[in-house]
Amino acid sequence: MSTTEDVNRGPYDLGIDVGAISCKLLLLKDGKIVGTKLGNTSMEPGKLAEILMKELLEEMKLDRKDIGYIVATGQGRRSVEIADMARTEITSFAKGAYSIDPEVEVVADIGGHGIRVMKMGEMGIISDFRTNDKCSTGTGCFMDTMAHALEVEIEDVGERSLHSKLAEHVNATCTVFAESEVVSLIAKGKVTDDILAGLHQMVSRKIVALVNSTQCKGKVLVCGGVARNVGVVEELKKTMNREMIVPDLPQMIGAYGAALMAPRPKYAIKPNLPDVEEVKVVKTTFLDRFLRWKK
Amino acid sequence: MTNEGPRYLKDKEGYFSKEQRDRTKKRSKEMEAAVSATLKKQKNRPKAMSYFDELHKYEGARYHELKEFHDKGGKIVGTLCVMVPLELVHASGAQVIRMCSGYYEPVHPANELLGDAGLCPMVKSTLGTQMVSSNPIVDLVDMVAGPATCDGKMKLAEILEDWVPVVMMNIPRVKVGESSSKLWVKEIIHLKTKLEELTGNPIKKSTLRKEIKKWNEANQHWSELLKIRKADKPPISGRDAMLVVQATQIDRIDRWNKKMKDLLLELKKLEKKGLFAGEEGAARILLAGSPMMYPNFKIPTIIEESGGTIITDELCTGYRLMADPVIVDGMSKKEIYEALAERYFFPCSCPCFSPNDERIRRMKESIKVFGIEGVVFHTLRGCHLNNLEATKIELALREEGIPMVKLESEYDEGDIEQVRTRVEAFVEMIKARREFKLSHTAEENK
Repeated sequence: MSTTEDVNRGPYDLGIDVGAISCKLLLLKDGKIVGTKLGNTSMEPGKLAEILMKELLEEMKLDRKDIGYIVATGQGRRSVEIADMARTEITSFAKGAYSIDPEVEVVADIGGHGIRVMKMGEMGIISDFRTNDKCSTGTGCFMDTMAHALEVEIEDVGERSLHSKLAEHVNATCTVFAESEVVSLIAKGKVTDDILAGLHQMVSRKIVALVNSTQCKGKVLVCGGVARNVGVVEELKKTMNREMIVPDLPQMIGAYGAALMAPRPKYAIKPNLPDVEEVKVVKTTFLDRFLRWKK
Repeated sequence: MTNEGPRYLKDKEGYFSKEQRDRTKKRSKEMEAAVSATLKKQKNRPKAMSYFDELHKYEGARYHELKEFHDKGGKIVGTLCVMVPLELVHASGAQVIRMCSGYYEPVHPANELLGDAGLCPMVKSTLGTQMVSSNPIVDLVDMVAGPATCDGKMKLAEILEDWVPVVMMNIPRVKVGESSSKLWVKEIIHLKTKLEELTGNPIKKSTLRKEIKKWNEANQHWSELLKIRKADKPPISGRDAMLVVQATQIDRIDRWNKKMKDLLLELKKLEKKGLFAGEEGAARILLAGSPMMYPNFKIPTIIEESGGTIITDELCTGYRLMADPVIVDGMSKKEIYEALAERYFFPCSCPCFSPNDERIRRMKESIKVFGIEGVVFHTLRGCHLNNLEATKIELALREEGIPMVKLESEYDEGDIEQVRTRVEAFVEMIKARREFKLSHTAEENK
């Protein structure tokens, strides 16, 4: 990038991560996070990203011209027309994780529809990655379905499972079969908290297996929407058998990595995420999305 | 084989409705046309490729040619794997069709018979094609030569017996020991007898030698093409190269040789002009794993649309078809058959063999010779052998510092976007590694 062009562009970089369930926006200035925005992915992710960007700019009292580069990532990255460039979520998450802690060896992103495990090489370049093969176990969508079956709000799932004294075993790994297993556990009169704890155990088993398949014993960074679920994180801490960190804004790492990829002169690597106010969460359940989809 | 005992679906006509047959035919035709259209859209495509496009066309010129040949009493042999010595079939005066199907739609009728039990989609598609006669060229087959390689292909050959006579070839699956090669020579001689019975022409030594000569010429042309693909900017895409080599499985080899010469001449001209078939700075990919018959070019298309270019492959529908020439040591009939047996057994690195270190050795060699930056390992759903071998290959490649991505696919278009994300990430990774290496060496040179 020539310096003259850089002068003409605004000082802010916007990362847009259009995931399967939610759309994440993150605004970056000189490598520091200055604002974030979260919304539910709609049928038209391109338009949604634009609307969310306008809202974010209004909140921040900024102008469209202040944004230098827009980098899109996530499964819907190709439909974001306002973006200057698009990168896959695998690259973005690795980039974000490396910026948070360069010593991380494995990055696990547990998203709405996919689990991605990246093994880091030199300079934050991925040396290997794995994804869930045609199986939704452990993803955000899976937990949504289970929360719906148990009639628990998805935001409370993590907290409630921590109250469990003895977790129920859930064996099925298919979302549909696991749901019927959960329903049969409810029918047996089991406590909801115990069932949730059992589900979290199963999810963490799946994630740990995928992380172990990289055959790497180093530090793990867990991010993605599911990392906001304290139940899963606690369970992962017990079973991971290695150093594990969860960043402050686990859901935003993809957008953060995308914004970092703006073709500017390189930022100095910041060892930690700067403090940002807690992101406002728009409460939705699986049912809400289903109804919206039916409309 | 006998025709006694319970059979699968003897009644080919009665089971499926006309609508279902017509639908399968129509969708197969549409699929082929769509794949062909994407192939034709490639940039800097050699004009000589149009012959190969026409050859593979659904109900195209090759079908009409074979139909005429068949109507005049000519015999057509279907093959199921790469271990059938095509020289022998051609020497008997018969023509060859590779029956392994790449069409997606015939999977559904086969599912009705076998259930959707995680079976290989290629096996199901081949069977479905036969069940609803969705591909007219397959209906011309008079006899099937099926080596008993993987479980799927072996049982497929057995089921196909309901429609067409099958010569099952007992291929030894353990590659070491003298008994293996002795058995395979016997099996080839058995095929020869069956071919003679089918056509009524005894296979003469002189005709066989002539055929071997033609095929060895074809092998030379293929090596020539591989040399061109070694270039920094090869003027032919991986898909086109696969299309060309798969043409040997249905074409007359002398004509293939002629057309190949034209193609090679054109490619050399394109190379001189510096025209590249891939994107600028494309990642150099080696494609390996389960077979991909035309028109199942889903994975190669995704790779070449996502900023990669397939420089070479390790597939039984690509490189392996033409891997080695037949080298006859002596003049006797016995020595010719031994040479054929050797060519169609030892170089073949299908995962159904054990030990199969040959595959890793060849891949490592290709990586060095072709300057490969990453390996895409594709497995069809239910391809246990390739799935099992993938880990071993990945570990071996890791030692070489070559990344590998494993992709599972099926015969449908539902997983295209998932696969695309993975391939794009893989290409991004390769490019990042390349940049890092370049900057690293630049710093060292300072």
